[in-house]
Amino acid sequence: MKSSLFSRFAVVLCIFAVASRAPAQQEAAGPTAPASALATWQRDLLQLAFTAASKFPLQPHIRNRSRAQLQVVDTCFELDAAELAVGFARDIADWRRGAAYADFATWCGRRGDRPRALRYLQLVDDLLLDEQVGKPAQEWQRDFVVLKQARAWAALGEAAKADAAMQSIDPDSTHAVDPDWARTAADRVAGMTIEQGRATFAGIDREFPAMTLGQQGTALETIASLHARFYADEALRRLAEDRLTRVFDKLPPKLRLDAITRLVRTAAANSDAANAQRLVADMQRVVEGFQWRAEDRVPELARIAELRCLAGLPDRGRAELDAALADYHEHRDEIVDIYRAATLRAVALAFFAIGELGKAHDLLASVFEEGMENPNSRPRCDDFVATCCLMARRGVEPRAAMWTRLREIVEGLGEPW
Amino acid sequence: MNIRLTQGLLAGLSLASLGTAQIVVSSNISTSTTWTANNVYQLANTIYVLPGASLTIEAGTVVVGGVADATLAVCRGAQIFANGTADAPITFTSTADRATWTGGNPKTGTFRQLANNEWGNLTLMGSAYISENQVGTNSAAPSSTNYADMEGLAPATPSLNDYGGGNDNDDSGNLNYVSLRYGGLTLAPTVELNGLSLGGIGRNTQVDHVEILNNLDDGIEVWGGTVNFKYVSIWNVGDDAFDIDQGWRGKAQFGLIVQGFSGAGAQGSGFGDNALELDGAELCNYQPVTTASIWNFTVIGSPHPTNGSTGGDHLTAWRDNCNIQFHNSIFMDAGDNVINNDITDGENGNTGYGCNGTLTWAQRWTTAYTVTSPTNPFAAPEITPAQAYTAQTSGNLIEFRDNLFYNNLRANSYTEANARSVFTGGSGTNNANNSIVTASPITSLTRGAAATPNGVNTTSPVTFIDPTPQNDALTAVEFAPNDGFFTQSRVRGAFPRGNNWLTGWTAASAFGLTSSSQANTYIAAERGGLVGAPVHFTTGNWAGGTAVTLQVENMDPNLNLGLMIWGTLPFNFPIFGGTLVPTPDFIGVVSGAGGAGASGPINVPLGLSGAVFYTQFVTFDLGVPSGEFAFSNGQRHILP
Repeated sequence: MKSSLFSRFAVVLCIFAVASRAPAQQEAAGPTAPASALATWQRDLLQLAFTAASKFPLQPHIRNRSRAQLQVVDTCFELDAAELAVGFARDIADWRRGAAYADFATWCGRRGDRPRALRYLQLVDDLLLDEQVGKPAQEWQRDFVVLKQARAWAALGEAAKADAAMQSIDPDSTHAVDPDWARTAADRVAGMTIEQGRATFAGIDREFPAMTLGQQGTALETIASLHARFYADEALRRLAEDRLTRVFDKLPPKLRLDAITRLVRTAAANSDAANAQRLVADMQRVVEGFQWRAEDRVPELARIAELRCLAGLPDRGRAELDAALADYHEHRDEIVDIYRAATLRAVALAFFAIGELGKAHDLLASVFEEGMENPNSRPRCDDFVATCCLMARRGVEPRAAMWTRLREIVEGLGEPW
Repeated sequence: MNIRLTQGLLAGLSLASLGTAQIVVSSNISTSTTWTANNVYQLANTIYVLPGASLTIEAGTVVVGGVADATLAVCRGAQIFANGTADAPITFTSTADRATWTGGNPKTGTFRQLANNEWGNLTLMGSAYISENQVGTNSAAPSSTNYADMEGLAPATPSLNDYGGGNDNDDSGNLNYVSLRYGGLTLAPTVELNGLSLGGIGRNTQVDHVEILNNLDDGIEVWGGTVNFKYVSIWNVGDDAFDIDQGWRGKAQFGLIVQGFSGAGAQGSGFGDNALELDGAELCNYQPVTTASIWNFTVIGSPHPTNGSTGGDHLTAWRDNCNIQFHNSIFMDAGDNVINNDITDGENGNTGYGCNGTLTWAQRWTTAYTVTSPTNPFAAPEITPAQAYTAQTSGNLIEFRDNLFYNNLRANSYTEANARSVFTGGSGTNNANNSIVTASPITSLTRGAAATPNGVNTTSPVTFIDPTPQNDALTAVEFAPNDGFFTQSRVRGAFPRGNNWLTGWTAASAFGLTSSSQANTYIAAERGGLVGAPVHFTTGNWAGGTAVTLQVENMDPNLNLGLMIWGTLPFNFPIFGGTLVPTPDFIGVVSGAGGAGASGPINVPLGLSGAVFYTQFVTFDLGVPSGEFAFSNGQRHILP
């Protein structure tokens, strides 16, 4: 009995060992989908960012490495470069690989490549149980992956499977772990009639104080979407603006500023400069209502300046952006060095957004150098990856000299981490 | 089944940390650094691991502080990787403690009851959400811009003691198998350091197998954040053993608290105060507010010898809207109440539960965990993502389920527990299966002579514990949810039957306060099934010439069938949904009724002193997906 059982167990072990190698083979064997519209420079920049992220030693930095890698992968997906993303994802060594595969399955599903989507969904299932690579150690990590699986099933038209996946997740997760779900809620707003919009708004207005985390987040997105959908309806528009600028004044300021930003962009898109300017003024009042540390204040001032330009006040916006930059320089030494690059990055990208390209490039060069202030490669790498990803997203192509410097930075990443 | 062991591997029993060089650390760590086990690192003063830097500490490394302000503080944006092991823990202690060791080995030494404040502490500061009102810019509602200054630290650059932010997934590193002894730095009266201070630490930080022994102030204090804890032991601290504040939203499982005293100071500065001091938010209506889930704790108070009023304080003291669920735990030997509504911590003008329209103390016992306060609400995180309140997944905001209460003999010990229907499960509450028992739920506890170290407070300190369960603690009605963090342990208290996870790596084990036997060392590897995680224990002592029986309980009672695996090497191989601890050198089948099975007597061979064997059970279980199995804990056995 003992011998027989041992033999069976040994066989099972062998099968397991073979099976555990199977996913990698399957992953490599997929058909090639059409290339994305990614510009060559964007592809090169993301490749450089991923190379940097992958230089983290696995031990003890597996989580730092995987987080940085996934940031690049997410950027690829945002830029519709899914093949590049999934190629990168294969090198992620923890549960985040499953999250990336689920996103790829969604991408395949939306393009009608059902077999490939199903194969990657199966890979996600395998990874969720894979103790060595993909099995999440905590519930929120599993939720993060399963949520993306649900979206993939939805993309395949498998509503029942999507719902089943969602049923296994705490409802609060739906907004918290994946903003895309909030955008899905916003998509639903797009199909509403004005009566439905009013009813939805009234419901939010009534329930908001008692809402849970996920519900409040979705509600803010929905308000912003209703504002955009029914901008022509003055009553509804005013209600939305009033809620976000005044009534919900207990919300954290950054959250309110994020929401009002959407309203400003909507007003500008509707050529309603006066309203956009009024909303920017509201944002400024929110900022002025709090005392901020420099690393929190400067990005908000830059955002207001950028939106001021968008609202039709370019001279004032430009002056405010100069002031934000001056504020950064004045208080730079108060900012811990690992937060300086992100602070200055916000100013640089605001200059790019208002069309001051030369200034933006000069500042971005400084951003990379600020990211090198700390003597350790972990924060250097984090800043480098974040800046590269944002440049790719915003369409900021590095100039020739910057490419050289970026490669030097990546080359120089190493001990001490 | 009679099996004679014929294979063995002579284990090189490593004497951990035989440090050969003493490195004095006197400057902040700005460049990522590794401390290695062949050195002893002496903290010359408060050392900050600066933002951006990582400190890696190898298994077996000893860190000592010979002066009171010798502290290691890991700044927000820095990381620590203290990767100890059961065989080679990382030890933070004083030079006075080290002087009692034999050959520089932290697994030796002499326990000194009246000793603390011999060095500082270990502090980690992260960027998760907190609730705090002392910084003028902070908002009452959660915000990524809210932060706080870590108490007890006074850096020359003020921002170095900042903690808090908007990243509940904060990753400040790992603390695995870390022993912290005799610390607590006094900066000034009432300004003391806890054994382990965690401010704004997020759920990506791993904290397991951490011990605090004889600290001046609290054992572990948690300010906000979402960090989870597993396998923590807190003994003889001079204030609260496990102190929670500013909106902690994590989970904890397998915790041992032994109250007592470690110095001649007042209660709170040498004589233990509350075992668990549970604050909600810094101001009572701020958010986040503490909302947590605790499973499998063994909480042992320090009563006055005749149950007078001057022993230790409460086992659980509740303040300022704190919400915590206690499951499958043991509360015994209370110095005062087992549950006490302190109303408020007396700070900042708080008025306690129910302030400014928040839920009252009583309402929280009858309010579902899904109900979050509309006052200063926790809106969606501004940056990425994470739920604000994830630790509780069922029941009510405050509840006690499946807990045992033993030897709590003060006249008022159960007054508040009764008022909250802990034992009767009153209307609307989710309390259930709690019992006041008359037979000890732990195997043994010995107390020394009564002492009044500060001239006021008196107790008889614990001198030995076998904390493994017996009687009603051997099983439980429920077990923790399978969420990737909790172990589905169907016992009450912090230890599964026959498995004392303190053995071998803690000061308590080194000093003889609990077993130091290596005969049956617990290895966490459980994977729960239909009725929770199978428990593997061994009866008889694994010594040459004796008979032992390898046993398992909590198998699927419908099948009553499992595989007994043992091997001579650790394998740790992921398979069938679990982890196989031993190399499968031998496999046998066990079956039995009621989910229990046993190997039958095994004769341990003679002449293999030092040989190491690993054992584990893999059981067939209808509660796991097809093709997968339930797994017991592993055990390592070293022949004496």
